[in-house]
Amino acid sequence: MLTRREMLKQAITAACLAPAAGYMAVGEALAGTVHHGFVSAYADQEGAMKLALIEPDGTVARDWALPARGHAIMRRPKSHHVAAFARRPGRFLLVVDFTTGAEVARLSSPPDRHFYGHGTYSPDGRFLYTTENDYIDERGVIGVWDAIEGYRRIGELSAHGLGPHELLFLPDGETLVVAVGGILTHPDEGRAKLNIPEMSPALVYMNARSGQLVSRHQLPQDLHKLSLRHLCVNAAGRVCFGLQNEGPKSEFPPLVGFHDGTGDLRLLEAPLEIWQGMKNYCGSVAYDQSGTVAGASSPRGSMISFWNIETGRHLYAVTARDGCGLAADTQAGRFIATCGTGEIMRIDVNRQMAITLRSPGNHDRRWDNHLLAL
Amino acid sequence: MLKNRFLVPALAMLASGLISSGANAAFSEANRYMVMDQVVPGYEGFAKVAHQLKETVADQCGFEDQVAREKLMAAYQQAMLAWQAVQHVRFGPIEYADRQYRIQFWPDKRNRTAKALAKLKAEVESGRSFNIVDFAQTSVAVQGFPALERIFTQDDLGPADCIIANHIAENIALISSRLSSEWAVGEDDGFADQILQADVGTDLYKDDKEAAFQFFKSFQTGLQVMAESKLIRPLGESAEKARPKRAEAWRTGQSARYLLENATALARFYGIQNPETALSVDGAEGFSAKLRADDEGGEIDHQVRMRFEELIAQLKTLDRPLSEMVADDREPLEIALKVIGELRQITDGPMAEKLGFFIGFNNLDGD
Repeated sequence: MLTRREMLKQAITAACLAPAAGYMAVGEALAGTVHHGFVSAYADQEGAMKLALIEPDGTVARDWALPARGHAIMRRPKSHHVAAFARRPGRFLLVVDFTTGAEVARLSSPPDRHFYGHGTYSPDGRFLYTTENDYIDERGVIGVWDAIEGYRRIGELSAHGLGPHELLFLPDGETLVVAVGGILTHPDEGRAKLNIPEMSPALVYMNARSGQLVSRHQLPQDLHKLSLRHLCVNAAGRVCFGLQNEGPKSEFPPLVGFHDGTGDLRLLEAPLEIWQGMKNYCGSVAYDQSGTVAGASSPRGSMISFWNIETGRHLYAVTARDGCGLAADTQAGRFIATCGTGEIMRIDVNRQMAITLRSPGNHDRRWDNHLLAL
Repeated sequence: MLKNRFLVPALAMLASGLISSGANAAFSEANRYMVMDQVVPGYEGFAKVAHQLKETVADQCGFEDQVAREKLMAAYQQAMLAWQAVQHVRFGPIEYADRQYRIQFWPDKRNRTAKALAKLKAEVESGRSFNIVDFAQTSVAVQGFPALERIFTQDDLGPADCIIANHIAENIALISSRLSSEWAVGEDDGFADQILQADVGTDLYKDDKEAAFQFFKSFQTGLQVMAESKLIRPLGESAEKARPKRAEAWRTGQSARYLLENATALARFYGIQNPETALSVDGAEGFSAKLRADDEGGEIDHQVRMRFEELIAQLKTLDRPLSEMVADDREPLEIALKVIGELRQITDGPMAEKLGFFIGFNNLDGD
């Protein structure tokens, strides 16, 4: 009898041998369609949870009802599908076509698993990987779903640590990089954190096919309460990560760092008032189009901060009340940010300015943590 | 003793223009009340009974008579009750060096206390000796009340048990005296002064509203812990699915008594002088007084007082161990849970809004 992992290996190997045939079979020859919009989850005025397609000018073109509060969104490569993941400790996974509005798939996490809010597709678009909590055995897992077969669950991989949050592919198309937060939670305990004194966060690289650990990197022991949570990867494979501090709130350690796959995790430098202003919490990180400017948002501190990831120089910080969603705009050095107040802003790091595309205050759309650039 | 590796003077932030200045005197009085009348005496009281616990364990542990047992248990309960009254203070010196967890490692989902205690006992029996510093370096799960409760509820106390009990009591006494001295008013770097002087900006708080927000969050968390950890967890979905051993300190059967202590402490922290007769408003301080400045806030305060009076009366009716009630008499617990839920709704909604505390959509931990 094949184990779950062996079945998974076979399925993935088969897919890699003939990916194009797979697409043609379901009539999805949509490679590389350009669309300059954005997608984000939000709560409306009545508190209903939804997903919106946002045009480049900040207007909303379309929206979808979500079963509960969403978190991150990921686009399936070479298609018009986007997947929306339930926020921790939610269980839904919804896939929609952003051009037609059609629902593609509506799924739940398996029994004894809940989602952590993030997922990513293999570069060929066939497999979807989701970070999940196996709360019975208290371990982090990566669920694997076959997008061609109606998002059939084909298996799961170890996340090599507790509390995996965001995960992405490296440019090699084979290696997953996972932000392992290190925090133990259980759905019965709401959002309570159960292991702060002994938490052991890490940046994990693993082979997406075999699930095998490539390498695991941790901050020095005196920084073990900095939980790794959010990631972005540029074309050179430099991983930028965002942290949240579970240690004393009267200390203000750096909350953003980077890594190139080997050696120690490196923390970025910034004037200390930047770290104090971020209030020990980084909500999302994103690169610009060029992959040289990295941004990190802090909704708690109502501030978004930017660095040149090649020189490590801190470039700019802008006030964004409850601002969390952050994604590259079409030009280098520019970002779009979304806020819990409803505001949408365009930030130009080179010119050190921000303009409001959609004003805050009416609360008809309170944007959730993450923004996806299509 | 602000141990701060990354501390930034607030002046630097003001100069950078990243934060607004605007000294705001509006919360000074509420802050002063919470520091001087609540947290500082709360920690002083805890340190005092923790010291008594340490002395009692040193004097009585090892004597296998009923009187010694009763003295040990009484000292343990005194210290635990004083801890319950400050358990909701989740910021400041309590955050250093895992103190919260070292005092009370709970909930203990993975049964860490039992495992670490067995290991420690084996080490002690094999002749290893610990000083207070060594002991502070052992597992956080054996350093506090839950480990002590396990030892005191054993049938027989051997020499190794008493050695460990002495270490634990000494550890709790040391941590509690540090909490008290590090909050002390007027001391160099005393945490109290960070808050009392927040209206002109301190190292930690740009203004007194930011300091008051810390207290507000502690109030919210206190209610949350009562509901989620202390009631919902042991209650489970139904009587059949109840989890009695998830009740706080179920071995000594005082879980409900601790809830009453938490509710009373939270009511006082909020500004109700006499929580049992909260509605009679014979004393309003802190957030309560602040809300009562106008009619709209007065109505919110009235709603809060009504719930606290109801909650405390309800918790006083619980005269059996919570671990038994979750299986055969759930209704009184469910009523208490409902009232706490209402208090949480008022706190997170109208109260936060009225006090001007902005709770963002995106700033919850763990996202």
